[in-house]
Amino acid sequence: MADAFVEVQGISKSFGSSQALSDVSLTIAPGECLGLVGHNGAGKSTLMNVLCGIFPPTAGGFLLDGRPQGGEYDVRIANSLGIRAVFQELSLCLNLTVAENMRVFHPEFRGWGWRKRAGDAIMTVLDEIFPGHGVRPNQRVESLTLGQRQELEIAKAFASGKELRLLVLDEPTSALDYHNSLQLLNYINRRKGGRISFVYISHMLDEVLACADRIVVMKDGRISGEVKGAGATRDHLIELMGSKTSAAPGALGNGNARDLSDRPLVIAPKGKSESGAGRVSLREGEVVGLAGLAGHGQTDLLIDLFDWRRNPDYDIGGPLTFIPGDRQRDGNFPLWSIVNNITILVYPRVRRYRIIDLSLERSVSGRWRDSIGILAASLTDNILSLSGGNQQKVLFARCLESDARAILMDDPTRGVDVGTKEIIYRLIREESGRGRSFVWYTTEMDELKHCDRVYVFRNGAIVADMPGVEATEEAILRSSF
Amino acid sequence: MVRSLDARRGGLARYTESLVPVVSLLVVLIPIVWRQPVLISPSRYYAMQTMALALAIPIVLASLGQMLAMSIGEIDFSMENLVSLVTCVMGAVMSRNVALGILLLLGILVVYALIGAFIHLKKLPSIIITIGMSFVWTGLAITIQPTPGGNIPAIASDFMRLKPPWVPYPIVLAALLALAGHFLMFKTGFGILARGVGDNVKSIQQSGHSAIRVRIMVFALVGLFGIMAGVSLAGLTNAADPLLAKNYTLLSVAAVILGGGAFAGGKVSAAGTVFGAFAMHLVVHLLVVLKISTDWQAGVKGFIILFALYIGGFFKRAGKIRYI
Repeated sequence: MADAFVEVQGISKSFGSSQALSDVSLTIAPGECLGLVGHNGAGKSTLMNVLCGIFPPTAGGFLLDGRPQGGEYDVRIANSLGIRAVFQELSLCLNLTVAENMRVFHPEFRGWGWRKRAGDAIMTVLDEIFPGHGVRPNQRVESLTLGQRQELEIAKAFASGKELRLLVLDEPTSALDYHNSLQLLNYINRRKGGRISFVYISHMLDEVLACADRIVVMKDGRISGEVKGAGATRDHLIELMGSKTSAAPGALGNGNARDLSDRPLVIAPKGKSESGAGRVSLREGEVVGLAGLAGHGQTDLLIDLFDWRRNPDYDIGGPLTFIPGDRQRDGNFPLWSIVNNITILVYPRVRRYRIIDLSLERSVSGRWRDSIGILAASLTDNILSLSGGNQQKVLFARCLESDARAILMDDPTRGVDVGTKEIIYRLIREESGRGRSFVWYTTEMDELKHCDRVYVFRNGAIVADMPGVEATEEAILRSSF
Repeated sequence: MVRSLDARRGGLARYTESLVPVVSLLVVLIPIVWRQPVLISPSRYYAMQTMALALAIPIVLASLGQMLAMSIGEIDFSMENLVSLVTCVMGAVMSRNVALGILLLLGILVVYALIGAFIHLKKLPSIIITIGMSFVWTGLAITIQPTPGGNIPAIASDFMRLKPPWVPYPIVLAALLALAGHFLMFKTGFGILARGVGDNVKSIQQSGHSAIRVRIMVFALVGLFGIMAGVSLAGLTNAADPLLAKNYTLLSVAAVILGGGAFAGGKVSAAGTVFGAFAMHLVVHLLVVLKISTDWQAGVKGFIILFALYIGGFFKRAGKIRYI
């Protein structure tokens, strides 16, 4: 298409060892609303970050209005070319007023009376998109509700003296209620067809279907399909998101189902569920997977289980440990050595005459280094001297060395290289064979094949559960959306 | 409907919050005036009340400097050392060699700008860098003025002793400083960016602004306010002393917090800070007026400051997200 506003040519992007985008090509015509869908980690947000100049691609490039954009392309240039984005994480400064936030993002509001002009500009757009919004220009953003902040974030992109050419909306309705979401969709439908192009990213497929002229489906950093907006159906989109590029379209499970029904329960639902929502149960030696889109209540369940003394919903038999998803924030003791990071849970075992014995500590951690291959020059080095994957191995060693009956894992392979992942899978297999149980929240569909049972989350509740051998990618996607 | 009610409640909370520094100043001021009514009687004791208030001006200036640092979520722990050093520069250098004195003060400004750049580039907390710098400043001060003394240029002391009609000079100065501080933080693009950096650096950078530039400018201004505090303190006391501004660091931080600022950054009030600084200064005076024995003064002063900060914190409400 010669007159495309955006023409992406074979963009790839990798972060360390993980490939977020591989060879993606895409065009966006002026006035078009392009829907972009796919599972978490499919590369949608990464692609848009590249377009908006937040980081450069590893390979490939793109044309705007037919002109190639080079290495100096950044947020400022993107902005001056009329490309703006509304991202999932709100980018407002909460301590500033509505008008002041306008000034931060649109420096053309300067000189005498800028406050009035900025306020008028944002109010005009807010009134147009979200009538009855209740926002005032001199209100501090922290006093707005989450929904109002989201409305402001969207309106801010339109309320500028400079021309808007492409607006990227990344999950714009996550904080909006049904009514406001409809207002936004109506507005997009009114504005498209002019000079402004839209990219609409959402897990809410009905919204994408309601406004997109064309829908591109992404999976694993590639484009896995494209459909015309008119005539597309949810089922067709879900099909494209899932099994199409998957080698084996059948069940994820590895086929050898284990019968654990005679084993004792480690985690059992207590009493009757009040809301009638599904609940998790875990038997000795069982590996339970938690699936669904990110942020739909999986981590909350893990924390509730870990906080078992205050949990009225479950009977927990025996000690639990937790492998957090954010190891930098919740997992590591960043000032300590590798040895100390491994033995912290079992320090009574490395004491002799009630005093910590260095040689016992070393032998415990040395055993783990040899069995799972922690790549460290010396075990007494600081934990942060290790690569991310090796830090994660240390966390596993710490939890597996403990006598916990069950281990709760919050997406433990996030940002971990393939080799380490294989080691982690092996450890989980071996330990579950020895009777240790796992509750495993993962954002990677492939990892669910290691699970005996899979629970699918949506909007904070379990909406489906299935034996691992029956869990197909399609079935999980269908329950997730 | 629900929304507009919420908005009004937010406005009311903001109103009580801005009253805190005024109330705490009154809490300190009323007992002073009650015990020493001469302080508010016109004309006769004009000179005396001016002196009682005038020593608040250096604290006001140091607090406004601290406020700038705290607006971007940083803190200057070398404030008292800087202010003392400036009195030494005024007393030992400026009186003999004006050019060298000005050069030294400009040097301090450059160092402060570099501190801002360093904090940005090395992602180091300012508390570490400024504690380190506090030793540098004191070392320099002792080198140029080993014992208290010095000869302060007449222009500084003359300026601090102006006598405008009707209103005491310190009040005029404080009002002008509050206005200037408010204009800087709330009316200029720089002030908005500084408060934005204190709240959400990422969004400032994503909107195409340079965070390092903001941090450099903020710290240069912190240095400038510290220098002005030192010049005014030297002018008022006619003394150069490496320890003259003792306690200024913590007093200035307390003044900012009392004035409605937040440790976490992003939230400041220039007028509140000026009120807070006056309250901090007058706490000392109050103890003298109440005839509290010097043995107890330090402890009681600390207790009053803690109490004022507690009351202030009580009125403050963090910006919690509301979903409805």
